[in-house]
Amino acid sequence: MGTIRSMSLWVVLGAAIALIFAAIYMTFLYAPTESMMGPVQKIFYFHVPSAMVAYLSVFVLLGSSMAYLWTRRRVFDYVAVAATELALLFCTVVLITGPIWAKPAWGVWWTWEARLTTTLVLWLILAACLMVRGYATERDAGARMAAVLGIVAALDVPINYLAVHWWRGQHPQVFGPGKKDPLAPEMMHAFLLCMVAILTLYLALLFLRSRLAAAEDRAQSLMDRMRDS
Amino acid sequence: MNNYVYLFWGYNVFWALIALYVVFLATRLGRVGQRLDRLENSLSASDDD
Amino acid sequence: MTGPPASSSLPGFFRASWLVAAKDLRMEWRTYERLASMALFSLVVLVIFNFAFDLVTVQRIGAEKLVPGVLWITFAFSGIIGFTRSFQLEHRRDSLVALVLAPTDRGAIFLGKTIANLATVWLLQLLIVPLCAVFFNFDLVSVAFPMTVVVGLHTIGLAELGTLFAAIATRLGRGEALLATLLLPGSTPLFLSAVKCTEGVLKHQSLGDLSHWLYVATGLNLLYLLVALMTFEYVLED
Repeated sequence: MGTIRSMSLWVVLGAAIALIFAAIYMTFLYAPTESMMGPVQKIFYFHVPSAMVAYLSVFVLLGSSMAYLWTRRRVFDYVAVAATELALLFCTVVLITGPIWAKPAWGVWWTWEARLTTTLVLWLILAACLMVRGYATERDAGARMAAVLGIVAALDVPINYLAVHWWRGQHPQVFGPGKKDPLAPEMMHAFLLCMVAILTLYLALLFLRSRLAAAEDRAQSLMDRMRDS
Repeated sequence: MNNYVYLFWGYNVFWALIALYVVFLATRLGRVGQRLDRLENSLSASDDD
Repeated sequence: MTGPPASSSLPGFFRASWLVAAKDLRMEWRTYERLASMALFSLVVLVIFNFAFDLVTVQRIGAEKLVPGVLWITFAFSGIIGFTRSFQLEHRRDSLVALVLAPTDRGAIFLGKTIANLATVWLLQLLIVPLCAVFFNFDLVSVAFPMTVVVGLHTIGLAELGTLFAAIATRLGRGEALLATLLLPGSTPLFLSAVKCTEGVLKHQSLGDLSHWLYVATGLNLLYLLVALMTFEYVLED
């Protein structure tokens, strides 16, 4: 089993950081300022990829939860923990940068429109998932409960979005058919690079966090072995 | 000008959160690494007996 | 309690569920404890809502806008109390182990518990909805049938999710607080639909007008049932 000091992990993280710096350059110096909203629109380069990564992480959570319940192999639980925490992290980013963008753009910090509401509810469910993990006294029981919750949470995401969308609707449509204000090509380049940078960052963190979970589990079982011997 | 304030804080939030998480990971990784080393040493020591 | 042998057959499955539901309901019938505390709690919540919104606001906004939210929050919270109790009794006496060891499909246990919980909340609603009509001054009789359908349908989903999450919460040794934290965000789409439909009913819309949301609710009920049936055994596992 690779040690946590393995180089590859840190290489990935280093690459992610390098990409992020490139992304910053592109965002601020390469992409032109948007005419309507002004400079604050640039938050969008990090806000949207964060949202996409959060949803990707929920998807990873779904897959690893199902895999864990099916196979009971610990590795899936490690990935599930990592996916839950990272989904919560990026969800927090979205929920804070969103209002920071919204205030100058729409005039209010918050509106209860479809995507914001769904993301907030998602945040609550993810926080509950982590809480459940904390409450469990036996390792396996906690992993199982968290896996079940992870599945419910993941299934809830699309349903929630549809439901809230039918209920309200207001989010700015940047990508979509027939939008009136198309992105300038430089903006698209910057956006894509930011997307790649944040995705790489996510993968690096996922990797790291899973390894951490595995290492802590190993330490725990070694301690149990010592106690028993 | 007002706009830049929001932009500034927006980016700071992003960095702050990510950095906090990386620091959290790094500390825990360091700690568990030391724990594993100690445990493995004492286990191999007791195995040698 | 010797249940029917491995209810891999469909009739066996339903029979097992019915046995579990009947057991729970019979216990409830003897003491009324659960229903009584749920009813009292609901009453308290209704009264508190009266203080939460001042008279002018209530008159200005009107019953159709206010009542759906009030009703469904009341049902959600008293439901939470009821759902927690449905597992806590066994948890306290460790008879959950006995239930799990019985040769029945875990899904049947889930279905039985859900049916019992559902029946309890339905009974509660029979009391609370008319009371709400009195407190908030709306005409219930003219909308009795659509109201029954809407409230009854959405409660099914609430009971399904509530039972699943209550099992998780009890298994972890926690109670209402954890259940509330899990159930309320988790049932958001159902909640939305419930409030939307109840509002529509109070505005004298027909069930046909609300069919869109009713289909959503039915779909959600089915989805929650499927997910719970598939995952319940993992929750109860030891």
